[in-house]
Amino acid sequence: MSTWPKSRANQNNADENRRLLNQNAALMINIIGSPGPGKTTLLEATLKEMPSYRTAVIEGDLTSEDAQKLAPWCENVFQINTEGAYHLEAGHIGRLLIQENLFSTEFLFIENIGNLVCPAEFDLGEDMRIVVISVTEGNDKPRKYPLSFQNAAAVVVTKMDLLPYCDFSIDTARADLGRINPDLSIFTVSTKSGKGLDEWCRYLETRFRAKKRSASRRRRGTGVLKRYR
Amino acid sequence: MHELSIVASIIDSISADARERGIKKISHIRIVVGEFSSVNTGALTFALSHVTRGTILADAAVEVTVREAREKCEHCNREFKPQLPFFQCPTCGKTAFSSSESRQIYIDFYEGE
Repeated sequence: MSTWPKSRANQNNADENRRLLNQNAALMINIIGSPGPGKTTLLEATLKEMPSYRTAVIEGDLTSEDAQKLAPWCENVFQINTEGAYHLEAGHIGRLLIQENLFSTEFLFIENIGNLVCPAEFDLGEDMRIVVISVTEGNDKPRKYPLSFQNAAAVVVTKMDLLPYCDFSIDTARADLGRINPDLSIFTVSTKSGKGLDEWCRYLETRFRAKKRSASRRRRGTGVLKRYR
Repeated sequence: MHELSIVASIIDSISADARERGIKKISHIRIVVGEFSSVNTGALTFALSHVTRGTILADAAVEVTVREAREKCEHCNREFKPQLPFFQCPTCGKTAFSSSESRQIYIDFYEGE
């Protein structure tokens, strides 16, 4: 008996994406969250804060609205229309990586479909998974969708400017998240006021520099491109 | 709702393997679903019975079984059945992570000729 990953094709493609991204020291960030916490707005604010980097964005979206919103801040914005499916798969990303030669970017942001269940179960080959939650969603999200937070590197709590008007407790959120995954980094951000953005962007830069260091230590291979299904 | 793409993967994987082994028709498959894989077994079984039409799996008897999660605490080594949402060890209270087995779904075997 041999064990097969959830989707063999997806896991193979995710491994291939990861291998290629590691060779090129591009940091891939998979952003997940329910519909509406401000994933695109956070991404827009992040791109504005990091103009000196080569960035690319892949939007999992039924419409081109999000891609259009980000286009002024990033030259490489791509939209993947999953036509009703609630998650992106590694093959979607791999095809674009190769077609558009996105390996030379430094930060590759993926904005997944708004959903806290399906995207958590599909590895895209990312370096880090980020979950975006907002204070307006209430405190129950980590407790209701713990599996999404278990394999995330960080959580960004958005709409902090609305905190005085919401029954949301940052202390409860920190306690719950800490119990689900003690290794999570937690950021609190308001894109309206800009508060907390600096800390979040410096965190991304630190992760990028760490990846670049480990990539330059590794001997570079030539890399045979694999065909994606 | 991701069951359909998982079933597409299952069909691809089995078809490719069967082709290599010269198997033309599959009579029986068993899929094992981890308790925390976020896969709905009803939706999976439904998708398997409909999407396999016209494939090598068309006439296969499909068995789907759920594998209960068991975790071993990294801190005190106690084996326990984790409970959502916090996966905490009942002995020492430390957080355990769901093992990859409990979040996976795999093809246990297939039979054919």
